[in-house]
Amino acid sequence: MNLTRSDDDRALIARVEGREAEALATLYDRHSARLMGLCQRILGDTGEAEEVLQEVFLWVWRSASKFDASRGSVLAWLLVGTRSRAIDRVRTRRPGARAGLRSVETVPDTASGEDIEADSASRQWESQCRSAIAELPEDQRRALELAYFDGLTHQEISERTGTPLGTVKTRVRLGLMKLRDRIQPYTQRRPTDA
Amino acid sequence: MHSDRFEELAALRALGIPLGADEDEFAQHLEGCATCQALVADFTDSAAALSATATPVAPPASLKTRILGSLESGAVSPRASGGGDLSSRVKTAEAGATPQRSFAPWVFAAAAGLLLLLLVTDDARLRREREDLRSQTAAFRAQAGEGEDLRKQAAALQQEKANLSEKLRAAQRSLARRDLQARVVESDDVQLLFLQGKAPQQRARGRVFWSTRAGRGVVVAGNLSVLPAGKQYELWAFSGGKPVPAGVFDADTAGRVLFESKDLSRIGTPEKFAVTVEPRGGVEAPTGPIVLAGS
Ligand SMILES: [Zn+2]
Repeated sequence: MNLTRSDDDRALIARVEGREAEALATLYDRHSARLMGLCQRILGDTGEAEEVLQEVFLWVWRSASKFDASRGSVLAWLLVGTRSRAIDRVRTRRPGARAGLRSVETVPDTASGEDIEADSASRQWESQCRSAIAELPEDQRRALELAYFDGLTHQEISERTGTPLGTVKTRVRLGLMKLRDRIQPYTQRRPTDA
Repeated sequence: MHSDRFEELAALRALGIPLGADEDEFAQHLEGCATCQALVADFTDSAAALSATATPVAPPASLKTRILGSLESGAVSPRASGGGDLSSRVKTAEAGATPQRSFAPWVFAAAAGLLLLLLVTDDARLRREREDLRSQTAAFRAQAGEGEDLRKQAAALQQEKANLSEKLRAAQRSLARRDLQARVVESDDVQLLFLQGKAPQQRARGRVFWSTRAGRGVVVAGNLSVLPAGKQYELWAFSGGKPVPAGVFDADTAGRVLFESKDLSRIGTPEKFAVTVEPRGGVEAPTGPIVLAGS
């Protein structure tokens, strides 16, 4: 993990807390493409993704003081905040109303576009996550993706995949445990604690 | 101790899936269980990893202008000043808390924490904080339920509610952590013992905090192997040169343990501690290999 860069994010958050719009702009430049990608993956290629992104950055502007560095990186915090807002919208939609959702299979394997700002630390994080996810058994990965990107509950996953409810819960649990065990070494960004 | 069921509930919670009939039970359990709190935090991070499979997309340039423009127009400032007091109070409440994402930092911080825990007397304040947040959350919920026409306002309330729940959870985590530590540590006779790993688990490390007066102890350990289903770790306290069983526990999948022994009251003054591998449920006298020991 690039500690300098990740500390950099934290310094930006501190400046946002001090009402520096320029710091928010820098955070935006650095992470908006990844957050936008997440929004579109959840909401489809619609104007809603932009609305969510706007909400997220306004939330950061208001709530930077709530960022808790002991609980992970700024990027993880942004992703969690973005995902929950996007999922809230998905859940309030009528079934079947989703536009333009891309299936997992059609999503390219690698990030594209030179215009997208991605620093080496986040690229490293990304490739670690991708390989951890690729190593998951197919049924566990599928269950996690349905919950994470489609906002399905365990009951809905069970119906959608024709799998008993208990099995769905087990897949979700085992999948997250495997991800945790693989990814944890890279998310321990605070060697000074030891 | 931890059943698969609680781990499943922690996983669902981390994914933001409503727990239905299990909601109250899990909320109650979570409040007192540092292991599950850490699990939910870890799982939340793990789930965020799924984002890496979404392809980054550059948003239109106009969006950045729009966002920055709405800051300057002051659209957000009233809310920010309104929430300031609460947010700073909660921040204060969290300020004394040790990180709970993983036990490793906790283990190392624990010795220093013993001294800091003289400050633990503010449990009552934290409880008040929690009640405050609860009633505010309820108030927002009630407001939101009155059928507010303006979508924007409803969204703002929703947001505020989410913010409050987040603060509530943070306050609960910090309470639970303090409760556990305080039970053992607030006694002025608390002692600390380091446990060393024995082959083949020479990388395992542990600490025992115990209070003879309180008859309680807490074991914090890391780098332990996950045992086969029929086996469990058992803690032994030596008294008069004889091992006395002091409880059984499991390591989580990352090899970590946070275990509170309630059996030490039967044991006068422990001279040393050891951990062995035993049949699940424990035995009265050690039969298996020693994995951790120290005096
Ligand atoms: Zn638990």
